Amino acid sequence: MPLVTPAIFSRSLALPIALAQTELRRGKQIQIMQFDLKAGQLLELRALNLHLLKVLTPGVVPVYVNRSLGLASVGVYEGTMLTGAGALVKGLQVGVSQFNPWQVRRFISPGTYTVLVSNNAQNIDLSLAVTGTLKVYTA
Amino acid sequence: MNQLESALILTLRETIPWESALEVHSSGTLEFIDPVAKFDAGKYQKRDRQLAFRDLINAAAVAEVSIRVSDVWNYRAIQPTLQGPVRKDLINAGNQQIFSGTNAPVQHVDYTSVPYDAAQFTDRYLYGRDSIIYEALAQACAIFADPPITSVDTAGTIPAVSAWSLAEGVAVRADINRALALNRDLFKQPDRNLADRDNQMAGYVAKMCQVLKDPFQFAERIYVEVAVVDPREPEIYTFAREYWDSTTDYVTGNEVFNQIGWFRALVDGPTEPTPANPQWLAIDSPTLRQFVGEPALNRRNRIVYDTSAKTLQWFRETTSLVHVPQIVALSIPGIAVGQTLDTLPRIPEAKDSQFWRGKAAQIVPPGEQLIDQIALDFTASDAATGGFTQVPAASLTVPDTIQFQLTGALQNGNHLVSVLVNPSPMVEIAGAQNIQGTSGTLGGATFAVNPATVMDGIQYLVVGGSGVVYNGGTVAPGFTFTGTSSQPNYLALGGSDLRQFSCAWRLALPVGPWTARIDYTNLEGNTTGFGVKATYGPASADPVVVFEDTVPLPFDAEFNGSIARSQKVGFDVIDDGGFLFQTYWTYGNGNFQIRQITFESTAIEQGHYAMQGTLAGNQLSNVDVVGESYHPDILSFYFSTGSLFNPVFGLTWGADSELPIQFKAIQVQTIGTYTPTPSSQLFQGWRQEMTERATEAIQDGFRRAAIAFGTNTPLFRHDDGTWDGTDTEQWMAFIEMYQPRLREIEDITTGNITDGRQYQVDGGPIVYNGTEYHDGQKFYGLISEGRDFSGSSLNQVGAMIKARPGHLGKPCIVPFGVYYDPETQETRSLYAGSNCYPVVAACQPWMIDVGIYVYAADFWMPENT
Repeated sequence: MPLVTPAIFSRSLALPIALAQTELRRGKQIQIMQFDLKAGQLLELRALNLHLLKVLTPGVVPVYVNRSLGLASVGVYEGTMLTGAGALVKGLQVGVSQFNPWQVRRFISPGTYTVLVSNNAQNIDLSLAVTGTLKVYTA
Repeated sequence: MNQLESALILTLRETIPWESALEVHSSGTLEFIDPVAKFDAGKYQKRDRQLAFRDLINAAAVAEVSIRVSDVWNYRAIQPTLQGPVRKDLINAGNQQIFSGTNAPVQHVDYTSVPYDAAQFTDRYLYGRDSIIYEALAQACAIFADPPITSVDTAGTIPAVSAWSLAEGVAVRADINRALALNRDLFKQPDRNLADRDNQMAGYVAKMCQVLKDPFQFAERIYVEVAVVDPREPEIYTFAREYWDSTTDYVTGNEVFNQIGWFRALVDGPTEPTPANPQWLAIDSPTLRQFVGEPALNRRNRIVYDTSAKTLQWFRETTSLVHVPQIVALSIPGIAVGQTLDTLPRIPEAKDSQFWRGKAAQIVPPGEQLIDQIALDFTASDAATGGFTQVPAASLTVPDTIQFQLTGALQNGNHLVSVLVNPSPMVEIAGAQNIQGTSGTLGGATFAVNPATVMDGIQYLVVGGSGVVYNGGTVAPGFTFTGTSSQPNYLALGGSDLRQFSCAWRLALPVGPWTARIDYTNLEGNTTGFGVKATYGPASADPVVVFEDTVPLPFDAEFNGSIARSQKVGFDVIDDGGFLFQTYWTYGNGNFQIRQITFESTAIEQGHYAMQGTLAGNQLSNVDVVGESYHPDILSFYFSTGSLFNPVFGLTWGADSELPIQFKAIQVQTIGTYTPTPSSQLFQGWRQEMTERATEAIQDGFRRAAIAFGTNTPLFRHDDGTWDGTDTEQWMAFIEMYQPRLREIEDITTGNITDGRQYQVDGGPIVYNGTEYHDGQKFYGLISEGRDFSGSSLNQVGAMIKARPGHLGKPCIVPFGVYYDPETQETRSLYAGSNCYPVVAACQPWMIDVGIYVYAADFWMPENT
């Protein structure tokens, strides 16, 4: 990696992924952010955390809408299908799930990228929060 | 032994002075002296100067070997300074040298000698000493595969010397001079100077031989390969100091490096080592020389050379099995039986992506692991039951059920089934998908002309002549009949032709406006066109004409078999319960074939898919997603199952009937847990680092290929800017010019061995160019050894694998500028040729659709922590 000179620093941008504590109803999704990546730009994900704070309908056995995505999930999407995330964090129970901080997920193809959090159960309401950062580099 | 050992004690000077040296004749022969000719001091002077030049050649040889040692072992060996350019190759003439005894003495002239004695004896002894020095160095260089200097002992007469004679050598600036008195010292002093130069060179060579004899004693870097059993490619181990650590409890005998040098503990629990601290003894070098490889795990991944016991011991990344210390040598036994550790005396090569794959595998991180199990890469086949098999893939056009027969075994546990889908308002039905079973070339439906027998359920038209006798009656020209299985035969009268009249397809589409288009051709004879009528026949209403035969479908192509395409004709689908699309060939000569029928809607942009997946019939997993037209995406299903063999994967689409969906590929992965490498917490980013290094190697390969091809670099993308799977393969093959171990490809067939690529045997033995290779063994294809092999399965070795649906999000290598265009709804490339630079990115569904390659599983890391 080159040194962080003022010229290089001015061409990088940190985009926060931030959703404050939110009540997410059963089967619903919230779009947290969206970014149009242009040719010559690079989008880099290193930090994405799903904080499953509370199950608002305790004692209910979850019936999954999208079984492979866990109880709740947050992901970076280029398409529309919830199961087609380019980067995904799944929450299976109350607690914090995080994107592996040792790996880097890069998106380099021009397009519109969306960060979406979803409640994947059709009979459970959740209280959750999302934090993270996307970095944009411009050539 | 016999490597000039006694010369080790000589004090060496930095420079070998030129001292009037003259180049020797190319034959190695010194200036000739005729003993009966008049005395000429100049000739004797010239001989001495030529002998001085041979010393310079020896010095150049030492310098050359020193450079090689430095390059290979990163150790700065001694190197004499030369005062001018000299070649390193000694030309030796056997008749110019004399050897006597075992210590390379010189017989100097004395008071009773005549001048010719200097030429006849002394010069020849000096000549021989140069040969001994050079030969000793050349013999020591034999450890290199391509030695910097080679032996000059063609006759096998040059002796090996241990005790080196100083031969009265003294550094005197003396030369044979015509103006000086003709006495003993006129010859002896210059000869003593030459002997001294020999002594210097003997000292240099002796030290160099010490290094070459035991490089581990001096090396800063070694290049080690593990061979035969559990092989590992050559990699660098670097000499590492054991630095003093204040938190470590040292005991007597521990050796550490602190600030200025090495120290040995004299007591237990000493304080910081300094020259003044009596608890430590200052030493020149450590007893244990440790060479550390990557990853530098604590006390592992190193080779330790015990300078006292003269042994080498290897510590791998895991220490479950201990390596018994072996006597030092360039090749020693490893841990497993038959395994060897080979220290290669050569400069390390640039590493490719496959090498970094092997390194990535040495650290296993903790967390969830995805293991590739079963894959179905092409669904438009007999593997699919139900739904509608379109030309590109199996599909569901309306909510319904489809099943896929998978081949392979699964152990009990949790599994992820990923499906590459393409929601598409374009439905392409092959002609042969009709309900009558009418088949034809290239998957089309060929309307039979004058068949041998009539087929059950197929409608036929009588054309011309006097009619056709069938089933007890005569059918007149222009009339039709339907064949029955009980009456396969017919009789044509008066030149009548019998043609298949109709063909039908059963299909279901979502309600709404659609268009239909027919791709057709003529297979035989001449025609200007075909009268074609087609109807849309839902079960709930009367058929509606879609194609009228008022104007024939033209066929004005140059040759039969070329595809013509009709206009798109609109019609409305009134319910999604299925309909019959009936076509009729009403008139026109030739032999009509429908290759494909394409139904398309421009009104549908999105579709909702509430689906239920089953695996082996008794496990359920749901998805509820929204898909976008022509935008490839991934469905994933989670199952917990017992052991399965050849399971059936079923999909039931419950709602909504909006947008047909193609299932292009399926992959089953087992969800497991990594068994992490012990005590590797500080190396959790190791695989990411290896991915970066592999990417750099791939980029370097592309750069070199682009430079080599120059303006002839292929464009890769299509002329219209689109990008598909063939472009990806061409692009990868381009990089493989300089990165031959790029792609891992299974089941290579005979005739496809490629020069420079590496192959690994999978299963039974194979024979390539007369050599038998067994399971797991690898070899390289060579252009001189042909492209064929015999035997069982063979795989091409590489760091990248073809992306499958389960590889979503994994690092992949993609051409810079390739992207999915939502406007045109296709994959395109902004750039062409050498601008299609490889970059690493997260694998996305549209990339899988165009055949992008992902990094092999050895590079993968758990997605979440």
